[in-house]
Amino acid sequence: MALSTTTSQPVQNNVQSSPGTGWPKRTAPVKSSTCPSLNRHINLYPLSNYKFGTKEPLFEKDPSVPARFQRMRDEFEKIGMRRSVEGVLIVHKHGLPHVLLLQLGTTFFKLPGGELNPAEDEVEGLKRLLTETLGRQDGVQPEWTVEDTIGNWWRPNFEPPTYPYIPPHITKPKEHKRLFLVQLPDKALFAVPKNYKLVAAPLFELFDNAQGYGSIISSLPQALGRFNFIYM
Amino acid sequence: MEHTIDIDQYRYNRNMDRLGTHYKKDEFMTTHDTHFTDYFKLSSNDNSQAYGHIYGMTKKTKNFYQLFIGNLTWWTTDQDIIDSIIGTGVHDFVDIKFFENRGNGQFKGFCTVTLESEKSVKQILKKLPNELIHGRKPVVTFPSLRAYFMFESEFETQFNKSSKGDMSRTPGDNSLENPLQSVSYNIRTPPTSCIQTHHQYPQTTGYENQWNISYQQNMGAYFVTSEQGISGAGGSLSQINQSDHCQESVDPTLVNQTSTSLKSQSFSYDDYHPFYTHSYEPRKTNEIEKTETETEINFIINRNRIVSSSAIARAVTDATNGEYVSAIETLNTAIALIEDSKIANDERSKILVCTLYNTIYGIQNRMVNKWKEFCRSPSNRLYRKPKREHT
Repeated sequence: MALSTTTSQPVQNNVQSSPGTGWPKRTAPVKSSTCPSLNRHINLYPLSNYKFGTKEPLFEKDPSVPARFQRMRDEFEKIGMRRSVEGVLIVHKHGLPHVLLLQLGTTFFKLPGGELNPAEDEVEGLKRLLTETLGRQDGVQPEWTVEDTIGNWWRPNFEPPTYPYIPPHITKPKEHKRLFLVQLPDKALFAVPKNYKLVAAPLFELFDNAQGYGSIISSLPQALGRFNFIYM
Repeated sequence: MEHTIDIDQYRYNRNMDRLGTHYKKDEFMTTHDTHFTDYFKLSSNDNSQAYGHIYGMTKKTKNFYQLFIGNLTWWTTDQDIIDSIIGTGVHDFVDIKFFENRGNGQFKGFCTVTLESEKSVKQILKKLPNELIHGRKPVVTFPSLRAYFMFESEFETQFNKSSKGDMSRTPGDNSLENPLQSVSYNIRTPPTSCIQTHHQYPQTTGYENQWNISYQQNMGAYFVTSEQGISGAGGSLSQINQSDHCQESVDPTLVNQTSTSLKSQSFSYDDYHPFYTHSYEPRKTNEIEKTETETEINFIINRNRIVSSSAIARAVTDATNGEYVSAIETLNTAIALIEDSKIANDERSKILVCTLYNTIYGIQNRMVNKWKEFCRSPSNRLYRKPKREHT
């Protein structure tokens, strides 16, 4: 819905600043060598390269949804806006990127990640959270390469809705969630907490499916569209 | 600026105080089973705090006074409103709650403010309408469902005005149009500069409520499941997680199966709200065909439709949050409003009333089912304990 407004704005900017680029296909394709951010290459490895083990269950901090918002309220008083980070880990299968999701119960899916500690660095925090969630237990440090930001979401109130912008009447958002693309190593062993299932969701399953996955995960196909995925 | 920060802090402290009283009341009311108490504590918090804007309409707080402030632009901030309230000489401001379109987070242009004394209420009623907030005169009323529906219908008529213009228009004819409804070849300027054109922004479509509701149901489902997931987590060891089963675990078909079952689980929107399936379309065509003489009747019909759709939207939000009583109350008020209107005997009004009754029926059914589910669910066994003691 908001797509048309969001795209129309940059078009104008691009036309003024750098006439060779932009959304309408009236110019020559972008040269990949000029600017790395215009043509990001991300290597994807087949799902079969990865092994999955289990480890002790990892429970969420809050026993229920109201408890979650209550803690968010309490912490907002003390430390201000919550900062969360989530990692988007991608593999490929049958020639399509698949996003690794943690499944709780039968219908709830989430990206690996969580809340940052006060003043913690985003990238360091994400690596810590990914290791807590999926890291193996034999002491081998997993190799997480945080490649790029792929989205920012804000929670204006202590309520479920989040949006990829701050509504202008809100001066104090309650949570800022940042999504990062994480480049996986070519081979790895992940230890999955016993209370979760790890699933690889194909992009066409997520696309336009906010009903099943919530607005953030279901918008991943659009957010990932700008990357040039290379199937290794 | 300094004093406003203080006030803000004050307001949050007040919130905490209010929470505190809720805790006490609930502890008093519930049994000694700690889990049971926790459950009630939390649900009470949720009702009073997270959905505070509903609170303002349905419950009267003991020591607080509330007012609606409307006719605001969607970029009016809480700080703007606090500043103009302070400008009227009122300093016992406690809280502010915005009414938002849940689908996209957009402010609907009216909010509830909570104050401590009746004197402040009078002062704001007297002085605030003479002030300007972002070039508009705020409308101040006592909180009531009637006022709520008035603001809600204002919000929606603004959309209707701009969409009507769209229908007779060729693209490119008017550059400042809502990009949602037509292909616009011109790029709009950002909203900060002009006040008059705010309604041409991608406000909402006629589907707003429909979308809004399904979104909320979705969020409801989303979180209910998360809860189930958490509470049932200890018991469900997924053997698929074993490394030798990893292929099945991450097979796309698994994802497909679970999600399709999820889709079928969530009840069909059309079953629940037949209203939307046959009402939006006629509205659209009516608008094109109607003549000037019918304007008044159409206006009332439209208003009734907005009343009923926003009542259903609100009721479903409430029902999703477990506030069944206030949901039904909202629907009943909407029925009363429609039956009071001039064209209560019109076929279309009757359909609306019928739909509202259906919704009440649906919510009552959900209420019953929810309770059954709650008792049946293994994860709620702890909560069942006290019940067994009763029987």
